[in-house]
Amino acid sequence: MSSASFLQVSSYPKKPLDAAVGGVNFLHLVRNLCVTSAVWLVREGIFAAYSPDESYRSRLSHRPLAAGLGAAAITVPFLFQRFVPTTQSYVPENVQQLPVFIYASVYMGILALLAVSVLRICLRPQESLPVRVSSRVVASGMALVALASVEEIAYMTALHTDVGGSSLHHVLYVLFNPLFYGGVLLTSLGLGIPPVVKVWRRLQLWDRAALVFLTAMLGRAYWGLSRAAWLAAIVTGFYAKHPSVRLYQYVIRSSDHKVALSGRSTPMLADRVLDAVQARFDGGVGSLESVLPVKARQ
Amino acid sequence: MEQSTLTADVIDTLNLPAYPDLGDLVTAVEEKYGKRLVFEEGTVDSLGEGVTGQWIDTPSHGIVRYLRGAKAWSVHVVLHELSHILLGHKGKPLDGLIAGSFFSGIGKRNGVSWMCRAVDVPLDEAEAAAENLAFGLARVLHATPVKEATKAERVFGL
Repeated sequence: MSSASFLQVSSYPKKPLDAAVGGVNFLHLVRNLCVTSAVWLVREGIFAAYSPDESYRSRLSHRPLAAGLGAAAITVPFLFQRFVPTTQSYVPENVQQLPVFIYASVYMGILALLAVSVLRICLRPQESLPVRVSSRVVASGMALVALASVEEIAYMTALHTDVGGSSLHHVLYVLFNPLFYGGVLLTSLGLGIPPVVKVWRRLQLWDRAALVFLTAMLGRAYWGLSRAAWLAAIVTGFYAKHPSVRLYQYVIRSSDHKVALSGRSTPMLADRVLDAVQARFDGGVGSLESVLPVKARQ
Repeated sequence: MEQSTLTADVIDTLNLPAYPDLGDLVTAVEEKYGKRLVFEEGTVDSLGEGVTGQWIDTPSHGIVRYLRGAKAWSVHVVLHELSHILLGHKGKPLDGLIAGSFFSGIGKRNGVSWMCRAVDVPLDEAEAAAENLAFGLARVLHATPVKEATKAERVFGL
């Protein structure tokens, strides 16, 4: 969503929409204010989640006044330009105008500041693993957004001051999209991690998969189920209220077979799944001396 | 296996602390039993083929013997034997039943009875009840303390 690049890659009907607001590229301003507001709100959400306390709310940079000042800083220079009709490449074609250069640079600068602010809070230590992974992915995304914003300012500065050749301009121009949209993608992915983990935990997908697999592989051998009962047990494994309880039964039955019913082998893959499940219940082999006053072996 | 009312009732009567360990449970059972418990590792030779654990009730104390295996499983065998005690099972009289090496250290004193967890025969009513209660006790033992959620975890509902 760079000032310069976005209009060329977007496909919404710019001319009729811009015509509705005067036909002099006001749509560009409206869009940039919307993007800034969206990033601001995402930043507030991320601070609410990742900051250690609520003290950040008292800082000026998080108050509505700061948002208003930011919007004004973008809007005021825009209003001082020599207006031109709606164009596909509004900024590249008009960046020679000082107000347009300031308008676009302030916009990208604010995005960069917001991204760095999020990046910093995301690098704080986090105790929870999913939150830690999420915050680091968001931090990576925001680093790319900040980099893209700074790079875009460099591009517009080069155009405005007529520094560098067309090849440099072209390189700076094409760099923006992968950096910025890569950053947006990473940020979205990072923010999506906690909800995915939440659903994963709630549905106990691993436990259900293990239970269905073990029932399919071992249900008949372990419990002597009839074919119909075995099929029913497989189906109920999908929606068992407490799949871990049934997994525990498989762990116990498995050891019953290994220890007391020697000679009845368990298929290798099922054995691996059982080992993984057993690890959850103090799975190691050993004496109970550490937990009980056990006398020597008889 | 969902907890039966009987299992839940028995567990309630133990007044266990939150997130008890096996030691807490043994202490509670000893209190109900009125005798101390002695735990011993057994072998297939000493316990018998297909037998994973035994409880022997003597006038002065109880003996719980279990096969060595995966810890969780050995604990489960112990839980099964403790369940017999909690359910008030009386056991089978020892006299005249078995004269194997397992009982050689106990002698055939009057009042000694025993029960065993066998896995190669269908469970009778008492064994099934003890096994059900053992699963219930295992749920209590394996319950993990709920960790206090961090601010971020609360925000994300983790």
